[in-house]
Formats: sequence, structure tokens, C-alpha cells
Amino acid sequence: MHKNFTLVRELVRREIRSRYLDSLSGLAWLVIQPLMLLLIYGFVFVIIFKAKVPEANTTGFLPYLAIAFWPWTAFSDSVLRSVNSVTTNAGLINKVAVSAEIFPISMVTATFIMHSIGYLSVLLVISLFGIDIHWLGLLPSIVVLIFLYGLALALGLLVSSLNVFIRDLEHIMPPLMMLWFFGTPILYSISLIPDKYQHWMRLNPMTEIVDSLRGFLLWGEYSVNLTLVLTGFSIGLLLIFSVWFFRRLSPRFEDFF
Amino acid sequence: MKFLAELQAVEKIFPHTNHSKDRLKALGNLLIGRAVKSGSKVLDDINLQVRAGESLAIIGANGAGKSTLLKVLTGVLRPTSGTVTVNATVAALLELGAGFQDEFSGMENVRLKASLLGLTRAELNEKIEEILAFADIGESIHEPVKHYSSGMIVRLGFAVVTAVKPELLITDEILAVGDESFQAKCIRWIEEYLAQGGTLLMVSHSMYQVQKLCQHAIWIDDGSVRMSGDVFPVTQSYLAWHEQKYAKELQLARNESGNGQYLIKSFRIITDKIEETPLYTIGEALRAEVIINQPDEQMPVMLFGLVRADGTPIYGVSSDQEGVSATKVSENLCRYRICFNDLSLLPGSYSLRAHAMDPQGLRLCDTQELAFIVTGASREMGFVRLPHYWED
Repeated sequence: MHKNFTLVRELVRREIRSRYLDSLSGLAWLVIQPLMLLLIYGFVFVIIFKAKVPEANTTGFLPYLAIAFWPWTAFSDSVLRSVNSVTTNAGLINKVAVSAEIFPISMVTATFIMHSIGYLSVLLVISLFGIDIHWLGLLPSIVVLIFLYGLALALGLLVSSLNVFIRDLEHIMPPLMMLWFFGTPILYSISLIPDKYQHWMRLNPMTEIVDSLRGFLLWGEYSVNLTLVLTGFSIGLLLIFSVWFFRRLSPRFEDFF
Repeated sequence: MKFLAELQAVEKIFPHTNHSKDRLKALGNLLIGRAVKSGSKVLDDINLQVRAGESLAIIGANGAGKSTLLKVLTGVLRPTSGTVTVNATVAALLELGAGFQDEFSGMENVRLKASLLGLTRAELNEKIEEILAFADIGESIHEPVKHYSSGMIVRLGFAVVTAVKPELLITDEILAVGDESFQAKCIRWIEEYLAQGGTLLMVSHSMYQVQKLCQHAIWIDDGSVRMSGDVFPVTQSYLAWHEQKYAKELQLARNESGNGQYLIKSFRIITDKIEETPLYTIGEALRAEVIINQPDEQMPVMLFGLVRADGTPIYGVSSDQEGVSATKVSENLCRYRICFNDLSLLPGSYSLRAHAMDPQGLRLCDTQELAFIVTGASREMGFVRLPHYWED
């Protein structure tokens, strides 16, 4: 257990370093990259598309988008990078007695750490531009982000283990995640959806996650929401299932590399 | 008696994985918890115990299942059936560069390797100096590993293990890389480690290393244990088996290449002893006869060699050096006979080799080998008894 903890920490360090090692300003990109993206989205959606959602009349569209977009990116990036995390470490798993789950776990963790830094810097810049960010909302937001991390972990474990047996997953996952992105009210608001479809969208755990984040950080609504509790609970169940699933398959990974 | 590691009736079958249908089927079977039974069998009913303080070698031909056995033992592979029990801290060097990432510096890789071997960050910081000193690769430690030579990677990998000092050290053919002085350093370290009560399990093709480092050996052949016990008999039988296999191949090649060569037609030890492998005592006479094909009028040169069962040469002598020539026995056959009239070999297994050479004594045409055993009780050391006397 202790060994695995050290290993995950080492792998997370390694992953973060490897993504920024060869770039000139290194870790500065963790902050610069999200801000540049924010600038681009601002230009495209606010200036060209003149995008509007009814909920964001007071804050403007860009903060509305940004608050949901970075957590989504962290989630989607984690899952997509996890797909290969076991197969690319086949050489290691084949030679050293190591619990294979540390690879998706450290991949998801590293991605979340990196995007959290980006998220914070985006929130800071938004508030510098005069949008009222409810910093107290950061506390419940952390709980929501932990739910999101749990969901990413669960899916990371599922896809990384399945990918050992079904290599096509690498090609299927990106379009699936794209579909999920558009099925989640990130670029739009759920109130724009016809009433009869809205309850279907509520089944998507991401809907509750992004709406809660907006509620906490943008509107300052800290009331406890039953749907959110339920979302957290089902993510917990899914995580338990994923761990079982992964451990069921992992002893035989070596046979299928 | 508690074992550090024990394998009971271990069997390993690698499932077929080439077709996606097989993979899906295997996936389904795993999820519903059914064992996969079809595939290629690599290990079959292996029983093995490793006692504390023991040094054990696993030997066998390529593809016999040695590395798979080590992987099962270290928990890298799960056996298809049977049980594996390990009651010790284990460091396995199945491949020295395993877990090294090309883009990262040697230092970064040492950190990862150390955590793979179970060292905490604090322990590593304590031992990092020691590791760097052992690896002895100087400032290159800060260079990316992709610029390392294979020797440097080996140095680094072994150095990390020296810092871990496990209860059970498992190595797979690792000493084959690295230069002479580093190999010597590793062997010295292993000897020290064994002297301090460490336990070693190694796979090696170097019988020299095996005999030097190990007390016991297990010979794996085609997935099962063929022989186990004290290192010397096991390694000797193993080498003898290889010699036989090689001799068979040579015989086949000889049959194909046909005549027109100075080939050995027959080779025998002249004896009235009845054993299949003749037994001698020290000081007896050993007589041998070889009959050679002689396609032309020239006389082939004969070279006799005495070797130990593991192939270590002891003595060799050729007919042209001593001005002896062959005796004609028929139109295209000639004969050499030799007698070692005072066989001063110490007890052990030996072979007599007959090498037929061309008339100039330059080119080897054919080789055959016969085993014999010298018995008796002697506390002398080495291979031969040299004439000597003690002075006042």
C-alpha cells in the first residue's frame, strides 16, 4: 500500500514533468495555455457567435463557459489519456511486480493536478476582469471536483483495462467523449433544451456537476442539492465496480500484451 | 522449516491472443471468473522451495521456461494453477533497464526504479550517494537515459538493487552485460550479500557463474523440472545433455556433408569395464582408439583433449607435435591409439575428445567425445595430481 502510494507519487511527478519538460518555460505553460484558450473562446463565442444563455445575463457568456469547460477538459483529458496507460507500460508490468492500477490512477491524478492549476488561474483572471467569483463557493466546488475525479478514475480504470483486450478502444473513445461533451450543458444551458428531453439530460452525471460548479462559483448558491448527493453516491458505486472490474482483469494483463 | 518462497504444482498456460475473437472470449471468461485452459503450456507441475540463506540457480535451454518461472515467482505473472507463496522482501532484476524511461535523466530513473523496488523517498535520499558510487557513471547521471550505453543502464539498475538489500534477490541473466570489471564488482557484491545471509535465485547460461555463486541448481526442461539438487551434478548433467545434443546435430551435419573428409569413423575407449560410462581410479591407464576415414594418401593429424564435464580444458596433445603418424588399417581407413598410462586426474566426471585434423594440422575436420569418470576418495583440490614430494 505504502509502496503503491510512493509509486503513484513518482509516476505523477514523471507524467507532469514529461508533458512540460521539453518546453522552454516549462511549468509556466500550465497557466499560460488555459489563459490563451480562454482568450480564443472569448473571441469565437462572445465576439463572433455572440453566444448567450438566459442564466448568464449578469455575468456574460465567457465566465459561464469557463467555469464548466475546465473541469470538463480535466475529465475528458484524464479518461482519454488513461486508455493507453496500461498498454504503454506493458514493458514495465511485464518485468516488475507492480499493481497495474497505479498507471491509470497516476494518469488521472496528474491530469487533474495540472488542470486544477489552470482552472484556478482562469478563475483568477475572470475575477480580475470584474466578474464576481464567489470564492467561498470554492469549498463546495472542491467536493464536486472530487466527484468528478472519482468519475474520471472509474472510467480510467474501465477503459485502460478493457483496452488491453480490445485495442479498438483507442479509436472509439475520442468521438464518444466528443458526443458526451455536446450532451452536457457546457456550451449551452439546460433551459434551452425542450422540456421533454431535460430529464434525459439529468441522467448524465456531468450535467449535475457543471451546473453545481456554476451555482457555487458564479451565483453563490450553496444550498445542498439532493441530485448532487445522488450523483456522488452513484459515482461512488461506479468506482467500486471499476476497481472490481480492473482487479478481475489485471492478473492476466501480461498474457494479452 | 519456513521457506522464503515456495511454488506448489505451478502450471502456466499462455492463452492464444492473436485473434480478436480469442481476446474477447478470454475477456468474457475472466469477468465471469472461469479459468482459461487452452493455450500453450509453458510451465508444468513445478514444485520449488527456496530456503533462507540458500543460493539457487535455474538452468535450462532457451525457451525451457526459466524466465516465466521467475516471473511467476516474483508475482509478475499469475500462474494458471498451483500456488505461489513468498515470505520475504524480494527484489527482482528480470531486466536491468526495466522501468527506465528514455527521455529522463539517470537520476530520475533511479528514483522511479527505487520506488518500484519499494524504497520510500526518505530511504532513497539516504542511499542515493551509495547508489551513485556503485554505478560509477559520473556526471552522466544527469543526462537522459537514451544517451546511455547498455552497460551504463546495467550499472545503474544493479546499483539501485545494492541499495535495497532484499531478503531474496532474483536475477535473470543480468551479469551477461557490463564490462569485466563491473561484472567482477557485481559478483563480489553478490558473494558478500550471500555471506551476510542473503538468498539468491538466479537464471544464467554461464555454468561458471552458476557454480561460483550457487549451492543448488534446478534444471528446467520444456516446462518441467528435469533435475534438481547440488549445483555440480546438475550443471554437469546439463552440460553433458548439451554436448549430446550438439553431437547429434554434428552427426546429422556429417551425414549430409558426405565423404572426402578426414572424418572419425569410430572412437572408443579400450576397456574391459562393463559400465556405460567407464569408471577409473587415479593412476590407472586410459586407452583409446580412433579410426579415421582417409580419402587420399596423406595422413590426418590427431589431437586428443581431456576436459572436465563442464568443458574446462585440462590437457591436450597432438600427433604431429610428438612426431607420431597413423597406422593404416585398410585402403581408406587409418588408426590412432593413445594410452594415458598414469591417469593422474582427481575424482570427477571427464570427457576425452578426439579431434581429427587435416594433414597440415591446421583445420579441424571432425570431433567426437566420450565420457568417463574417475572415482575414489581424495581431499586434494583441483583437477590433476601433480608429481610432488614434501621436503624437510
